[in-house]
Amino acid sequence: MLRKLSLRNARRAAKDYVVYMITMTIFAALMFAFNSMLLSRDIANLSDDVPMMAIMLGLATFFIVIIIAWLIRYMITFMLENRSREFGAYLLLGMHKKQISRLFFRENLVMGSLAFLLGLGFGLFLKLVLMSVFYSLIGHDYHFNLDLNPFCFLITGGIYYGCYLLALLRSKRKFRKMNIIALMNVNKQNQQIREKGDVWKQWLFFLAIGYLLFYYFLMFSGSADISTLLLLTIGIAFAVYLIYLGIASFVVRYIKKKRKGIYNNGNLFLLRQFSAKIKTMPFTMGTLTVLFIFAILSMGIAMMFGDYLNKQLPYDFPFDISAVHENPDEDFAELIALADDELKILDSHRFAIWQNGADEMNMFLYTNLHLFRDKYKNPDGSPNRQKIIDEQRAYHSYDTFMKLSDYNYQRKMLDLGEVKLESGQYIIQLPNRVYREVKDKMGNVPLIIDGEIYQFKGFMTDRFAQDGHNGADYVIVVPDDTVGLEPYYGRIVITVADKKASGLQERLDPWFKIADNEEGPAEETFFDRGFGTKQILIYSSEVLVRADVEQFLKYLLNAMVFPLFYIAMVYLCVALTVLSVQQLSDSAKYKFRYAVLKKLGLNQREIDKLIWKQLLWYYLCPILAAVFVSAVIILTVSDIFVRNTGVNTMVGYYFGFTVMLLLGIYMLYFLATYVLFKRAAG
Amino acid sequence: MNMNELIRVCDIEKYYGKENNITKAINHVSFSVGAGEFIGIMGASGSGKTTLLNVMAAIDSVTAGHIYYEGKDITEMRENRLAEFRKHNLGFIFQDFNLLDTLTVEENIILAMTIRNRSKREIEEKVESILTALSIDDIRGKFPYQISGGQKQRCACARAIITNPRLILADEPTGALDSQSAEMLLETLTKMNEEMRATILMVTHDAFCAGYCRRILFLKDGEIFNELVKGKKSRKEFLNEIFDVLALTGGERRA
Ligand SMILES: Nc1ncnc2c1ncn2[C@@H]1O[C@H](COP(=O)(O)OP(=O)(O)OP(=O)(O)O)[C@@H](O)[C@H]1O
Ligand SMILES: [Mg+2]
Repeated sequence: MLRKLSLRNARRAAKDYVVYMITMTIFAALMFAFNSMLLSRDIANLSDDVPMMAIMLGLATFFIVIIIAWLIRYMITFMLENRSREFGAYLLLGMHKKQISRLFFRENLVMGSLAFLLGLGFGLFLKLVLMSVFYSLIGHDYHFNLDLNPFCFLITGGIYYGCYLLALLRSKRKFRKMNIIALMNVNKQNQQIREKGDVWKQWLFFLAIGYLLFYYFLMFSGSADISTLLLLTIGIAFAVYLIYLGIASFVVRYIKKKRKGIYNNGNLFLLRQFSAKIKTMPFTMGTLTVLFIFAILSMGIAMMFGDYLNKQLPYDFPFDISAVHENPDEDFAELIALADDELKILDSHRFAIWQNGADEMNMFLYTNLHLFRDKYKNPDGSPNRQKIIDEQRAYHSYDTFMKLSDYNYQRKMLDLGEVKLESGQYIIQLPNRVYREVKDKMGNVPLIIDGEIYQFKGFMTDRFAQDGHNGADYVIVVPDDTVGLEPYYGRIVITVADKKASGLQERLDPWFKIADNEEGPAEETFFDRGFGTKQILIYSSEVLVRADVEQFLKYLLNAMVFPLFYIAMVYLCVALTVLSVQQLSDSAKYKFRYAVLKKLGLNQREIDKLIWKQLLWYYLCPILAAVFVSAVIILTVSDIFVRNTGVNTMVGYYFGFTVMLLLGIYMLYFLATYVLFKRAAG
Repeated sequence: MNMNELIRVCDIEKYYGKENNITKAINHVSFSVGAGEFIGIMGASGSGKTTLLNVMAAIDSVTAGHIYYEGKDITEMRENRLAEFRKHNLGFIFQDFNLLDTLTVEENIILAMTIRNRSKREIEEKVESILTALSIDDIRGKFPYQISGGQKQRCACARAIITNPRLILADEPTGALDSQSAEMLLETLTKMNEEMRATILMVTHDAFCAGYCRRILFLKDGEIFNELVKGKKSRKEFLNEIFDVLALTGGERRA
């Protein structure tokens, strides 16, 4: 009897719970795909000797396992709730609780295993898709490679069944505690209404909104320091949960006060539907929103780094080899010999950077760049020279100059056009990043060399290695016949034939260090030289071999970009799946409600409209909240990023693009759910 | 034929099931309903009463035959026009209530008005008076699963008649009510019938309730097998007649 029942149930359940099965299959597939990506040799090769990638991926996996475990538990609880009425009926007919829970357990195990096997198949396919997506995102070629790893099956199976059994045991305990009437009423507890005691909850909603606005204000006004902001950002997660705790009460209050809006066609129905739904699962909705926030943030930040890789890296390291030496007459003989040996030198130029014994330009920058705010300003606005000397090493001790012929020679090496200057004129060469901040003012700083006033001709913002090599942040270009300048330090730039990474950088680094140490007092003068004000992704050294540095930075950045995309994708998949399952699983309940509305005289078009609105509200809620919250964070972060790296991108771009991308995926999911839901409930 | 005939049911049939397992829920039924009539439908359980009301409300389709409302055949009408027809003419009191579980008693009633785009003021006034008339104003804020069967029934009733429909189809509206509540409801229906000129078709098992009707159709195995008209008879005479007919049909039920 029991076996027959169990068998028939399983068959019926498999049919009824297609959604459940599909979801479990998707989870298994996702987990398998991501795990096998994590363990794949291709990815391991990509990260090479940088452990950062492994660490980041490990961290990401940890969070993902947590989320998937939560999901599995959610699905099983959901399943139990859906069938509890039936179980109540069995109890009423005289079956034992133990029998039923064994039935449930066995049934679930069968279905779970089925889903797992199906998931493995899909997972293999998914992995291939994801791999090629990731590779194209980080600009590599991907060659299809099945790369089956038995260890991966083991891990995936372990996590899946671990989570599954835990969830089952939990729900079994829960089930044992219920009596018949509780079981039969589980479905009806939808709107557990203690509405009278609920009034205070709507204030949570206002409180949370207030908190968000306050956060917005602090972020944009820039009046709080980083640690405060971080703390407040953690508070955001709480605010999100509070919003969901409060919003249902808010809507219910709105209905109870009989505001005008409820008298409009089906609105009353929609509002009730919405509040009932949210009320039963504020925690789930909050978690979904937090997942979306994570997805948006990860994706946005990944895009920033990706953008840097594509746009800024070539700008920051224009010369094949570039070096400085504290001795203005340094001949760089050893460097030249080594470089020629390894990479074959095509062209090189050795020259000096000059100084005029003054530091007007440096002082101007210390008091005008956003980075320093008002830290080095005296009350009257003049620079606090002593404080700067005590605390700052961003710039050299003196303003830096370059002769026009040296400037033009380097421009020629970079395939840039020649620049002309009359005597008595100067131009300022600086990177975009600094130019954007000072373009209106820096030209007005009077330049006096040897008692003669020079005339400002304009700015140049070409790529020019200005992180301590061709000046720190800027260099002033003057005609060759300028008198009164002292040589400051020695420079060499080299173009080579072999552009591939060779490890030369690593071999040159100690060579330069030794050179420093050999001359005792020189160390002092050398270290008074700055590397500019770049704050993110700084790679400064006295010698830079482009191919090597680029390779290193690419590894480093990919180690960030890759796991961030990974997190974003999984969270998005998980959240969207939960959202759709939520709606589809309830479609039977909705079917009845819409049938009643139809009997009351709504026509199909009106019903479709209601369904559309209901889904839209429900879908828009978490994503809008997530967009609203993450907007301020991403915009602030990208503002800092753009200002500090000098990437030539609009601040809103990362946010806009991320949201567009997510909304695109979201829309697809929404439409699919709408079609399925309409078929099931309409 | 009656001059102000509202509905004409022409030889309708309704079958459930497939080939070798057919239930003839309605079998060749014809009758007509005049505007402003108060008709009772009686019959044993399973005799096809609910089915008859459902096809008359166009909630269900007929297998064969036609139903005309003011000369228009609703069995041939498109779905959208049927919806309009239901919205503007019909109040249906369902045997199993069909209340929306996410809405309170009061909101269930309000919703029936809002989907007909009535104004806020009209809604508020009417809801007040109907809640009092059916004495459910003390449970107005409760949800369907929190109230008794009888209260649900009165709520369903209120929802059906609040819009002043021209035609009320009531499927055992007093089934779950005690005699006092039943009387209150029947008075309300009678008032609507007399003052608003609403046409009413009411299914009932209860002879006492049927006594409120002007005419009674008796169904048996999906066919009309008898018809009683109150005419000028006193209530008592009419009731006796009903009991006589019931003794014929319901005899087997009581045995
Ligand atoms: N959806 C359906 N599918 C199959 N058979 C049905 C369906 N609905 C009703 N029937 C059958 O049609 C017949 C008439 O049912 P109906 O519900 O009209 O009876 P009723 O007169 O309203 O009975 P009661 O007084 O018990 O409400 C019954 O034999 C019933 O079993
Ligand atoms: Mg019936």
